[in-house]
Amino acid sequence: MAEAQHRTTGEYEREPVPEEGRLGLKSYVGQFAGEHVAGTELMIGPLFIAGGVSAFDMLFGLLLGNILAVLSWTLLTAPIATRARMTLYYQLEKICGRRLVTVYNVANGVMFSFLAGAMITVSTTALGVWFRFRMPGLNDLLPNSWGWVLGVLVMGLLFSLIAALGYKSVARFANIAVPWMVVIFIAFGIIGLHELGMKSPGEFWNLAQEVIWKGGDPLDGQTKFTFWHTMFFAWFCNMAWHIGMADLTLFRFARKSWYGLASAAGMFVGHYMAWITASILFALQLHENPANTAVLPGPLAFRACGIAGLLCVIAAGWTTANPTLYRAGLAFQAIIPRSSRFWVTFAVGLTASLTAIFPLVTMRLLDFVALWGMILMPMGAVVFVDFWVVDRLGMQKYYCEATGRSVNWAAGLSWLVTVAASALLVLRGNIQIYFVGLPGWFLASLLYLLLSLAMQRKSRPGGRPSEGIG
Amino acid sequence: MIRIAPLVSWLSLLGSLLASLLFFVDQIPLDQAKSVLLILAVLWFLVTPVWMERSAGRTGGRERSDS
Repeated sequence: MAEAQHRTTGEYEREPVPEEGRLGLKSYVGQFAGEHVAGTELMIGPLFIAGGVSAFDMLFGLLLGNILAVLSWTLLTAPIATRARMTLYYQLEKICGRRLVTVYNVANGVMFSFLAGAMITVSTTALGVWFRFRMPGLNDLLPNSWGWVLGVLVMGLLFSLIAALGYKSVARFANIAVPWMVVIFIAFGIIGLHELGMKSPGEFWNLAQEVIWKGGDPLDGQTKFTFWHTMFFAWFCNMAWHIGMADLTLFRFARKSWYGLASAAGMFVGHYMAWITASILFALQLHENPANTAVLPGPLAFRACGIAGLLCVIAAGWTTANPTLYRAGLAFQAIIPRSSRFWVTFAVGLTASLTAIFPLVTMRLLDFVALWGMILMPMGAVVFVDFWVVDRLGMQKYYCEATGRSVNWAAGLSWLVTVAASALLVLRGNIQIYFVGLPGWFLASLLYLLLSLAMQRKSRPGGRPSEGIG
Repeated sequence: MIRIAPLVSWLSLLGSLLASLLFFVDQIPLDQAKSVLLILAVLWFLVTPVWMERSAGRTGGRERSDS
């Protein structure tokens, strides 16, 4: 019980986690397995098919991408977390200063709000099955019926109110719902495969190639997905958490750094099995009616599992939208500490609901997730370089803490220039957004190193960088 | 009651898997599989809170969100 309290009451937020606060491997396996069965998995799986992915590219691209994600948590995030044992925010504050952390909080809060909006959209598609209102198609950017607008607002209002009022009770409900949702996702796959004509496991590969992930051209308006797109998407869809270092906060409780391997439970349940079964449901829909390209988790789940499927869609959306809204609220509340958490969370929820009316983010979820990683990733590079490299080159580690400055411009400029350069490359069509994270991380690392060298050399009277503080 | 509650919960999950597998091997029609899934879902959500509350703290909560 004490373990849960550490995370929910914010213990050790401004101090390293002591020995008695450490957690075992089981906690991490449970946490990762639970949190990656989200409502958005039901959107992401079908979008691979919309991108014209082939069976090999889907199954092996996801496999390799998820392995790389697990390795990123294990080799990059967890080693720093288990040595420094501080939250990302506290560590960033020491390096970058409070002002830059505030900007980071705003960016994080905005992205969380959009993600919560996508989860509200997913859950509303279940309402659409019950109330039979018209729902958006794959390329719709605007709402296409008043029923949809009303459904989103009702669902959003409900989610916002619950997030503002009773975060912990929904967290408890989520713990109960997760094992059941995993089983329903498996049922989606088994039932979907049989409805597509599969009679025995031996027929899977043929069906996968010929019917489910046929490859070829993407659907209208979608990006063609190859092996590399799939691999990089699977690797970087949680980029903000692993190489972006957001999970320093989570792993600071881990007894050993290799507990990062526990992320495999989330990757292979949520980002492998769930994406595959969700895409099987979409393949079934296209198989039955090739003209029906709408990616709507409600009808997809209802077709396979009936009302239990609809309940799974609502539960998956609700249990993940709730902490998302809560975290977005916390991010904004940190900017105005005296504001009421209830009203901030409620206002964030209403804003997320307004964004959910417009299906733009949800129907472009693959791009949105990549954009999120691109925006937050440079700060992970800053933390990485500051922790492992800066003092070895004779510079000052945790610069703002040591000097009392409110902004570390080396970190700020590294962030800004990396995001601007990445965005420019993507907008000019030089590189697709799914791939920009990798060069972006190296660019941010290099920039932070060079700018720190220049800045710290300039700020020392003798022209020499200061001694590291260890 | 609390002693057998975990057993009932896990059996309801096993039953859900079994229902979809029985449909896969053409032993039950889809409508029947859907009804079984719904009944077992209700059973899971009625019985599981009785015992899982105690161990929730040990397994970690869903306190952040996936993308």
